[in-house]
Amino acid sequence: MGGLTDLFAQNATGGDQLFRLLLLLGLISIFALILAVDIIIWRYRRSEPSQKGRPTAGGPGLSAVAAIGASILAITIFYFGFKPFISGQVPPAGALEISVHADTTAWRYTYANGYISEQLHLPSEEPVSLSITAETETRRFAIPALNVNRKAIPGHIGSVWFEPAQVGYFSMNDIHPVTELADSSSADYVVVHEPGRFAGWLLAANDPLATMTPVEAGPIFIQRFGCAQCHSIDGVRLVGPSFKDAFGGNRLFTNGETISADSTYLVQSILSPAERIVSGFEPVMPSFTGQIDERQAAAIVAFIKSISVSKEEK
Amino acid sequence: MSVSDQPVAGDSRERGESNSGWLSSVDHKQIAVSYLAAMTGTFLLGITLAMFMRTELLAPTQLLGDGATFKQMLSMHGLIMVFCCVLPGIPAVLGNFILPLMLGRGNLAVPRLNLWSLRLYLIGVGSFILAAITGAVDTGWELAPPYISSGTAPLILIGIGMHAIGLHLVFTGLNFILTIFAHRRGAASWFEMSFFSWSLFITSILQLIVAPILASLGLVLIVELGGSGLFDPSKGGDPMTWQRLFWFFGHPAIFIALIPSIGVVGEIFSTFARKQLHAPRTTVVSLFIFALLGLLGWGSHLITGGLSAVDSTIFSAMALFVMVPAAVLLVNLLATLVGGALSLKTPLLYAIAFLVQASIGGLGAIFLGSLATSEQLAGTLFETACFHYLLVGGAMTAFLAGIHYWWPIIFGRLYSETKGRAAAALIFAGINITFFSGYLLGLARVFPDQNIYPVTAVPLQWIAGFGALLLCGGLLIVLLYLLSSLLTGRGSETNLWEATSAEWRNR
Repeated sequence: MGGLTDLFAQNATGGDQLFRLLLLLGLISIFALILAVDIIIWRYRRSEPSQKGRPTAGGPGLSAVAAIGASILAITIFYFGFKPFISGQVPPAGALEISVHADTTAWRYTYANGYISEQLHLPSEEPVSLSITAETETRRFAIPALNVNRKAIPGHIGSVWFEPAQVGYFSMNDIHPVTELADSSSADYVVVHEPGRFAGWLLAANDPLATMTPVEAGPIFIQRFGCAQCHSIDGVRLVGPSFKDAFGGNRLFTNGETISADSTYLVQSILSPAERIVSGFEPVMPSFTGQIDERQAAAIVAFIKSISVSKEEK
Repeated sequence: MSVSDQPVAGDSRERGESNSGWLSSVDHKQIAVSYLAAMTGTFLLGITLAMFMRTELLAPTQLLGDGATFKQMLSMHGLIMVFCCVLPGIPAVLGNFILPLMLGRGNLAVPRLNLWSLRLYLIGVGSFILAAITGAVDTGWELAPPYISSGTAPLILIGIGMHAIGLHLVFTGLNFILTIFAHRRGAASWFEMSFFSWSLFITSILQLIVAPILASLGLVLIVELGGSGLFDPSKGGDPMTWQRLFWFFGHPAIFIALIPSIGVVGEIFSTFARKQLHAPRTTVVSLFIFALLGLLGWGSHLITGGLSAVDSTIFSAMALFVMVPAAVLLVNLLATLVGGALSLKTPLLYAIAFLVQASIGGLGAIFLGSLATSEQLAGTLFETACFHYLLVGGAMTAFLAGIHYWWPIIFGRLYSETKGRAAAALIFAGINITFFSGYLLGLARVFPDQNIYPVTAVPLQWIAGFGALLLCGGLLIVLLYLLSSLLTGRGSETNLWEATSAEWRNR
C-alpha cells in the first residue's frame, strides 16, 4: 500500500502541490457524485407502476453553470500544472550535467569530466540536469522516489532536472525508501551522495590509477580522451602515428630535428603536440594541457611502451 | 426470434436475402447478431489473457512465466480488447440493430457495405487471434517500434488486422452517416432524432477522420517490417513518427468508445426515469465539442517523451478542456434522473454504474492531462487504471446496459431480472475494486509492463486480483443467463419498458 502517504511525504515542489490539490478534488468529486446518485435514486424511485417523470425537458441553464465551473477548474488545473512544468524545462545555471544513455541491456551515465559509470551517482542539495537518449529501443528511465519519469528515445534527447534532497540509495523501480541493499553497486539503485561528497567521489572514480597499474589504466585514458580516433594500437596509420612501437628509436621532425622517442618526449607530445610534428604528418592534434594531467599522460605512455618492441629509455 | 418475425422493409433484393446464410445476409439484424457472437468470443479470449496476468501478478516475482511472456500477454490483451471489442463494440452490435429501427427504416442505407464491414471485422478478428496463437508480440497495444524482440509473422498478421478493423470502422461510420442523411431527407428534423442516433452520428464522423489512419498504420507496420526504416534512427527514421501517428488515432479511439456509450446511457436514463433527456440540444452540442476536443488531445500521451515544451503545453490544455463538455454531459445525464420516476431495472443499474465509473476515469485523465502530474504518472499503472475505468467501467458497462435494454428487441425474449441485478452488482464491485487498486498502485509508481514488482505492492495486487475475479464471475453469470434466455427465455412484451422511443413503439 502506501502510495498515497509516500506522495504526501515528498518535498513540496510545485508538482506535488498540484498532486495534493488534484487528489483532494478527485476524492471529493467521487464522494459527491456517489452521494448525489444515491440521493437521486432514493428520492425519485418509482413508487407506483403508472408514475411518470416530470414532463419538462429542462433548459440549458444547468449546462451553462457546469460549463463555466468546469472551465474555471480546467484553467486553474492547467495553470498549476504548467508552472512547475515550465520552470522544470530550463535547469538553473551551474547544474551538474550528466548524460544518460540506454543500451539494449544497461544504462550508461557520462559525467562532465568524461567519466562513465553504469550506476547513477548524484550529489544532494545541488541541481542535476540529465539529458536522456537511447541506442535502439525506447526505454523508460524512472527514479520514482526522486519524481523522475522519462522515456529514453533513440534519436531524441530528453531532459529533466531536479535537486535530490535526501541522501542514500534510491531504487529505479520502487518509490519506497531502500531498507535492505543486497548489492550497493547494483545498477538498479541510484546513489545520492552526502552534501559536498560527490565531487570527491567523482574524482576518485574517475582515476583508474587509484586501483590499476599505469599500463592497465592507459587504454582507459586513450578511450576517454578520444586518442583512438587518430592513433591505432595495432600499427595501422590513421591521422596520426600508431601507438604500436611508438616508443623507442629516433624521430625525424618536420623542422629537421631528430630526437629519441623516450617517455619525456611522448608526454610532451601529448600535452603540447604542436611543438614538434613528426615528418610526414599534419599538425592537427590539439593540445591536451589542462585536460590530461601528468599522471594520466604517464599512464598512456606506459601503455605505449608496453606495446612497443623497444623498452629502453635513452 | 424477432429476426425472422419482423417484416423487413426496403427493396425486394434486401428482403430476398434476409434469410440467407449468416455471412452473406445483408439484413442489419443478422449482421448485428453476427457481430455480437464474434465479439463475445474475442472478448472471452481477451479476458482469459487478463486473468493469466492477474494470476502472475499475485507474486512480486516470476510465477507463471518470464517477463517476456508477460509482455506478450499484455500486448495481445490490449490489441484484442481495443481493436476487436472496445472500438467496434456499441456501433457494430447495438448501432447496427437499433439505428435503422430508431429511424423507422428497414435497413442501413447501404446494406452490402454493411456486410463488407462485417467481413472486414471478421478478417481483423481472425488476424489478431492468429497473431496471438503464432506468438511473440511484446510491443504493447501501441505497437511502438523497434520490432526487435517480436516475431515478424504475428506482426504482419496484426498489420493486416489493423488494416481490416480500420476499414471496418470507416465503412460502418460511412454507412451510419449515409443512413442518417437518408432519414433526414425523409423530412425529419435533426433534433427529432434520438440521442443514441446522435451519438452514433458523432462517433461515425470521428471514425471517418481517424480510422483511415489506423488502416494506413496497419500497412505501414508491414512495410516497416520489410526494412523501410521509417521509425529506425539508424536508417534515418524516427520512432516518434509512429508514436505521433498512432496517438492521433489512439486518443480519439477512447472517444469513439465513449460517445456511443453516452448515447446508450442517455436513452436508458430517459426510459427508466420516464422523462425526456435534460436539455437535449445542449447535450448533443456538448457531445460534438467532446468529440472535437478528443480529436485535438492526442499529444497529451507524449508529454514525458519526445514532444517539445510548447507542444506539450498545447496538448495539455486540449486534454484538460475536455472537462468542460464532459461536465455538461454529466450534469445533464444526472438531471435527467432528477424528477423522474426511476425503475431500478438491470439496464438502469449499468447506466448509473457507467456514469460513476466514467467520471472516476475522467478524474484520472485530469492527472494525466495536467503537465506536472503527467510527468510523474505517465506510463504507470495509474494510466492503465484510468483507461480501464473509461473503457471497462465506461464503454463495456454501457455495452452491458445497452444489451440488457435492447435484448428483448434483439432476441424477443426475457432474461432473469434477479440474476441481472446480482451480476450488475458483482461487476460494479469488481471493476471498482480492480481499477481503483490500479490507481493506487500507479501513485506508488508501479508499472504495468513488468511481472516483477516491489514487495510493498503485493496487498494492492491481491485486492486487484480479487476484484478481477468478481468482475469475471459477474460477466460469466451474464453470459450464462443470456444464453439460457436465448434457449428457454419467455417471450417479451412489445414495449417492455414502456419506452417512448421509436424502436420500442413500433415493435
